[in-house]
Amino acid sequence: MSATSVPSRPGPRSLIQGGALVLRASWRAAPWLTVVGLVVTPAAQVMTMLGALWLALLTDAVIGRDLDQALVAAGLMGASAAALFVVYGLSQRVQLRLADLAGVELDRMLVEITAGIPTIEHHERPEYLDRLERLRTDGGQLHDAVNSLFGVIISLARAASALVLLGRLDPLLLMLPLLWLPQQVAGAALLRGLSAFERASTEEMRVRRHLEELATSAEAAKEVLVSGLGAELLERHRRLTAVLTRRQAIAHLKGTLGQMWTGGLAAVGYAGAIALVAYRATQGEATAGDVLMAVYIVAQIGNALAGVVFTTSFLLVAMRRVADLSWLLDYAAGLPRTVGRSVPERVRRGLRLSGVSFRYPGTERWILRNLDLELPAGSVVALVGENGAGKTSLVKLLGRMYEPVEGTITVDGVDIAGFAHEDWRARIAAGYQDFVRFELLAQETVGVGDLPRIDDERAALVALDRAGAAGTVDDLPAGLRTQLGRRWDGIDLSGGQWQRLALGRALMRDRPLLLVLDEPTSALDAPTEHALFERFAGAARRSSEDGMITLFVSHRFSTVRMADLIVVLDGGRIREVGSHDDLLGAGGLYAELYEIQARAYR
Amino acid sequence: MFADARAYLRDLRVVWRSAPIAAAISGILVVLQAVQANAFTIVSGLLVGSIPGAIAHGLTSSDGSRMLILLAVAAVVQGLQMIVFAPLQQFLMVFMEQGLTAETGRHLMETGLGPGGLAHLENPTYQDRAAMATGEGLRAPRMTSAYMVVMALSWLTQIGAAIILFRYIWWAPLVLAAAVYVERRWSRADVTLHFDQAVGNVQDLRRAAYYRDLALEPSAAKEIRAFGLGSFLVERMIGHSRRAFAAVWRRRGESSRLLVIATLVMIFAHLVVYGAVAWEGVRGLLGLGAMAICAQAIQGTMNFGAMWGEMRWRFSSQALQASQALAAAVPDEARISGSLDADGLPRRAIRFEAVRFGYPGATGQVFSSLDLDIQAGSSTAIVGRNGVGKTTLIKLLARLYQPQGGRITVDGLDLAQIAPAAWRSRLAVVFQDFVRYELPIRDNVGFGALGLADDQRALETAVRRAGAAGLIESLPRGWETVLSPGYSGGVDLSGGQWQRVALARAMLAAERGGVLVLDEPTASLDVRAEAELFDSFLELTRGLTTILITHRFSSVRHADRIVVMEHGQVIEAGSHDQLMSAGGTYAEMFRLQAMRFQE
Repeated sequence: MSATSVPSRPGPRSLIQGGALVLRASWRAAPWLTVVGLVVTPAAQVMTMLGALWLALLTDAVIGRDLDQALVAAGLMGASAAALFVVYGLSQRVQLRLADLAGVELDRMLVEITAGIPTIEHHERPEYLDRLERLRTDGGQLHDAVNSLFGVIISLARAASALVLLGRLDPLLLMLPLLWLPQQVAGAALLRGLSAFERASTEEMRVRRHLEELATSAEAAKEVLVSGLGAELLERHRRLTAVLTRRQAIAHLKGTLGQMWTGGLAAVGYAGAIALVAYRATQGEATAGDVLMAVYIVAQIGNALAGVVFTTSFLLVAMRRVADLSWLLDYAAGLPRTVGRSVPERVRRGLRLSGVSFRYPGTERWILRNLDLELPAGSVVALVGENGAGKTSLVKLLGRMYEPVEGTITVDGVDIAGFAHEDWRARIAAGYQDFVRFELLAQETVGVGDLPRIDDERAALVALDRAGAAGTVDDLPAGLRTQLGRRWDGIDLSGGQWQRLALGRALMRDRPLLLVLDEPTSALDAPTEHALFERFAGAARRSSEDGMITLFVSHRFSTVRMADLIVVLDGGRIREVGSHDDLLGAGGLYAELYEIQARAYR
Repeated sequence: MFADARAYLRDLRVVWRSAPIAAAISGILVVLQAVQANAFTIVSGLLVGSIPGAIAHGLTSSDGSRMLILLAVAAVVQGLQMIVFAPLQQFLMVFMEQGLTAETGRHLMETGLGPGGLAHLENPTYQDRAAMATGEGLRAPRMTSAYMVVMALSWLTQIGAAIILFRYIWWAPLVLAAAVYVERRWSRADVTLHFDQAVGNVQDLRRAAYYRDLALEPSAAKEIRAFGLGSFLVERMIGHSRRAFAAVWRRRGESSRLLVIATLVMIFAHLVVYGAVAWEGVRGLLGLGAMAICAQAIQGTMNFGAMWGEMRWRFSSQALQASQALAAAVPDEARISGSLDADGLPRRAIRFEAVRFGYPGATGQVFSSLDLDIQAGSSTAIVGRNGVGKTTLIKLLARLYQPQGGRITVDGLDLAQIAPAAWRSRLAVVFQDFVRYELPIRDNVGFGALGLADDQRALETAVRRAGAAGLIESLPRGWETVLSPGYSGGVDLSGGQWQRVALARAMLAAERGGVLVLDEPTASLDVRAEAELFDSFLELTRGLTTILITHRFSSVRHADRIVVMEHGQVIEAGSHDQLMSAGGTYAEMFRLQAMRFQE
């Protein structure tokens, strides 16, 4: 999988890209509202500028002592102010609703893209993780992207209507944008500088956040308190902030200087515009009303510019997140997709690993090397080995979280790489050591193991029973309907209880081809493990008629010994394969490890 | 209105505290900018007024040069804003925003760790505020100080414009103020509602955020793929978002009537004021320049920047408010005090005497009356099923919680009298869910005892005793390697490797003597590593008071004394041999495990 080349420098190009992305989201979420917003928002700006015309009208009426014209002008100004109010209010309302809708749409894109990338290889890529992290912690700002976009539209509408009115006074004034342009370029440069700062400071910001979390989460704080680290962590936080502030200030200073001199150019342009109209007035080619009109427009633009300087910085913040999202979309679009053949209904012969080697992307060390292994249909296989032997990596390969770097994994002779990821995964079941504590209803926490039956209480109870965890649910105040998780004022479970529910989740699917369990009982105590294993071994055997292969990782040899086949991994290679009795007789690594554990009970 | 003013002043105080210099300069700039905007109104008005004279008498006349001077002044006034004020104001934002971030973080950390206990950290209200304080879930950039500047600038500009207008048509500001008042009423009812957390949709918003975060957290990536949860998460997220927004939209619809009233007032006010300007202008009561000034000043009193800034400030400021409100969510039981010294403790024994305890907010008690003796200088193993309270016992011992009844004594001293920091410096604890510091391994070990963190020999010894010396050699940057893959040159450790690092940290802390607590220290170690650890158990715990907590019966034999707990009580205690021959629960559970190893 090669990295897709996407611009990581958010300059004008990615601003336009980002804007297009936001607009697309807005259009998809609410096409009509988007159109209304696109019409009404510029209209408010045109209204403001129209005020200049009425003002000129009023001025000339006053000079000409024409009461009727003066009152008409005053009426127009009053109406225009009210209309502006309504249009402005309306456009705010439209913008806010669009912000809601498009924000959700952007969130949807984000979630679909991150959950939709078939493997988890990208989790080894810092440039991916950094963006994901920023989007996760700062991602609420996607909801502001629409407002930012409209901010740009407002600026453009204002500039355009100002230009039209000024152009009416003197065509030479149509050249004004030449003096505005440097200011826009300077704005883009500031954006680039800030983005560069953000990229260069990801690690410091992450550490700072980590320090805050250490003091906020009860789990971490207990150790921090016992170790007496409070003052030390605060001091580190303070130092990091000082470094970040200095760095951001330096990044910002360059942009500020740019804005100052380009602001000067623009100011010269405006002063020149007023001077030109005033001069023409002295030559009798323009009226005093025209001069006031020019003044008014310049004041509006000048105030707007002060606003624009602000809006740009707000815009930049939200747009930087949009740029992150845009990068992820491009990245995901560049990934190869498998449109696979269909996965068999059941395993007839078995699962075979041929010459499988694996190392994590971007690393040199082989985690698994040249594995050749046959797992017969219907067998219960135990995977053992010391820490770092490669057990968990093999489990990940079977779930196709990663693809082997060399070799193939086949089911009844068919390469599993030929199946679509989701099809293959729909036919396997898995329980992981680092399981997720889904803070949902207990029913759902188990039920997500088989989504179509997420609300099926009987299925959940059966799965929990398989996991020996029926008692866990009986202890909950509302049984399966109990809300889990303190954040919802729900029930918090102990580590062992969470693990039991996770095991139930892994056992939700009926008749999978392959059941993979990575240390499913590490947090459980002896009696629980004992009861579980009795039940579990029986169930696994019953399913074996379907050809289901069970593969589990465990450090407990009391459990391991019951497997049909025991695979001993050592340093990424297969050291021994056989039944408990075979391996014990062979007197190799397995026998040694078994002996160490058994000794403790003699 | 007054509540808003109070809130604004409160935020202002925080900004002032966190970045005084930047805040002061920014404040001065705000005043200058407001003066600038109104100065431009006056200068440009005078400029317009000078034109008929310049037309009549030519550019070289005194009227003409007056026009030219006014032109130059107008250029300078406008130039000041564009060249100096606006860019500078934006630059100051860096310091104010970083200052606020630092202040919020500092507050978060001080309130988190300051009370000394844990009760507040497990309180959902506290956690909500803490999450909000870090800006989590904010649906706009967190730039509180910037919005405050925009608001102040708009207000001052409006006030300046009103004063100018007052000079010419004294009653006009009053009429326009009525219009502004109605406009604010409407915008508050309509627009700012968008950001109002009190609309009763908080739960839905939080749930939407939860599903979204689940999808984005790398730790959930495997299960999301294994179970194909992508579309499920999207569906739930969108469902909750929609419900949250629907509540806001319904409320927003209710403000339409106010919009009609506001529009009518707006039309009326402007018709009257502009009409007066036109009337007095035509009648010659107002000169041309004065009229131009008035017309622009009227525009100046209508400033939508205030509406825009206020809306965002209200929202963004919630983070600041949440951080300031953290302290109020700290219950008394989280505050741990005591003043006695703990030097050399414990010398004789630690005693739990009829200790009663239940977690705040939880139903049921962990201990109703726990009695337990731990002899100093020896090792005690505590075994029992999941959820029996083994870890809670450690939390009480470390004074992270206080007993609700009974007491804990150390050499006869009530633990509640001992200074918490002093007592904790006598403890070395490996928690079951030990912390994985995203910092160099030097800190990960050194954090066990800050006083020894610079002592390379102490670090090496601790690492060696924990069996982690080989690990350090294998790391790409040795002691300076960051233990998190998210950093350049950082590495991810396996569960077993992490456990050794945590053990090394406790070993460093144990250099100071005192109590060593091991809570399931081998849960992720492999067979050989576990055996090695317990083979060296005697050496590791020599001279220390050791408490070993585990459900693995194979590992407790090494302890001098074994305590079996059930239902929050000690049901058996004695050495391995004593308990085995007593034939109670311990013997039964041990045999159950052992049976599985018999041929």
